[in-house]
Amino acid sequence: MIRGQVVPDEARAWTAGLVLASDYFAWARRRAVSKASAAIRTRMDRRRVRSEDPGTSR
Amino acid sequence: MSSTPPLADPPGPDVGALAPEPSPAAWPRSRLRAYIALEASAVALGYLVAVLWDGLPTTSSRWALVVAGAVAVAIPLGIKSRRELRQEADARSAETIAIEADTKLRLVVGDVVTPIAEVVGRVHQAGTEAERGSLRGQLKQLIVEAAANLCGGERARATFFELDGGEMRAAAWFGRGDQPETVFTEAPEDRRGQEALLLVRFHDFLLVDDVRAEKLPRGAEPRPGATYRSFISVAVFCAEENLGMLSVDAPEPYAFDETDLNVMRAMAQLLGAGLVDRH
Repeated sequence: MIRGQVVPDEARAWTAGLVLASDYFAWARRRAVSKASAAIRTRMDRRRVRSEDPGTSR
Repeated sequence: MSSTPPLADPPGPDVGALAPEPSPAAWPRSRLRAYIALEASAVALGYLVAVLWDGLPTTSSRWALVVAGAVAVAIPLGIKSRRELRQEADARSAETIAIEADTKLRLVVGDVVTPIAEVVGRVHQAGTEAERGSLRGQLKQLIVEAAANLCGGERARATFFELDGGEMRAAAWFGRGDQPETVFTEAPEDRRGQEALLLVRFHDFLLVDDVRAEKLPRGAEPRPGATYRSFISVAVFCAEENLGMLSVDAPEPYAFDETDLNVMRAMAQLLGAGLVDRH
C-alpha cells in the first residue's frame, strides 16, 4: 500500500517561492533517479522470474 | 501525513540507492567477471594436469603440440567470455536508458506538472485582482524554471515572452545569461518579430536543432551575436486568446529532442490555462 500527498511539501515550498528552483530540481532529480532505478530493477527482476518460471514462460 | 522537511533526502531504501558505495546493480558485473576468471582458471588447470600427466615434453615438436593445444582451448573460451561480457554490457546500457526515461517521466509528471496545476487552479480561485496578478507572476516564473530544468542540458535558458498590445517582451526567464532584451514587434523592419507573432497567431511550435546548420524560414534566424545554437519556441494560448511565446534555448546544437518539445507544449498549455481571463 502506498499513501501520500498529491502535492508534497517540497513541491509546495518551490511553488510558494520558499526554495530556489535549482535546489528543488536537484532534490527532485536525485529522488526521481533513485525511485526510477528501484522501479526498473524491480520490473527486470519480475520479468526474469517470469521467464524462468516454466509455467508462465512462452 | 508526511513530516519530511523540505528538500531532505528521502528516507529508507532511497538513501541506500544514493550512497557512494557500489550499488547492488554493480554486483552482477563483478560476479560475471569472477565467474569467467574461475572458468578460465579451471580450464587452464585441467589442461596443465593433462599435459604434465606423462611428464614434461622432451622434444620441440611435443612442445609445439602443447602450445597449439593451449591456443585451441583458449580461443573458444575467449570468444565465449567476450560474448558474455558484451551481452551483459548491452543489458546494462538498456537498463540505464530505461532508468533515464523513467526519471524524466517522474520529474515531469510528479514533480512539475502536478504542483504547477495546483497553482493554475489557485489563480482562478483568487479573490482579488492583486492576488490573481501575483499568482500569475509566480506561475510564469515556475514555468520558465521548469522548462529550463527539464529541457536540454545544464546551460539551457527559458523565457516567456508575453504578448501585450501587439508586441512580445520577456516577462519571466530562467537559466544562463542575463535578462533577454529582445522585443518582438510587427514593425516592417522587424522580420523576426513578425515571424514570432505569426507562430503565436497560428498556435504553432518550432524546434530548431542547429541555427547554423539548418536552412531556417526567414525571420527565424537568430539575431547577430546570439549565444544559442538550438531552441524550441511554443505559442502560449487558451482557446482563441493568444498570450505569448515560451522559448527554451541552449548554446549547443541538438540540445533538444521530441520529448523536450512535448514537455514545452505541456508547459505552454499550463501557462495558457493560468493566464487566460474568465469570460
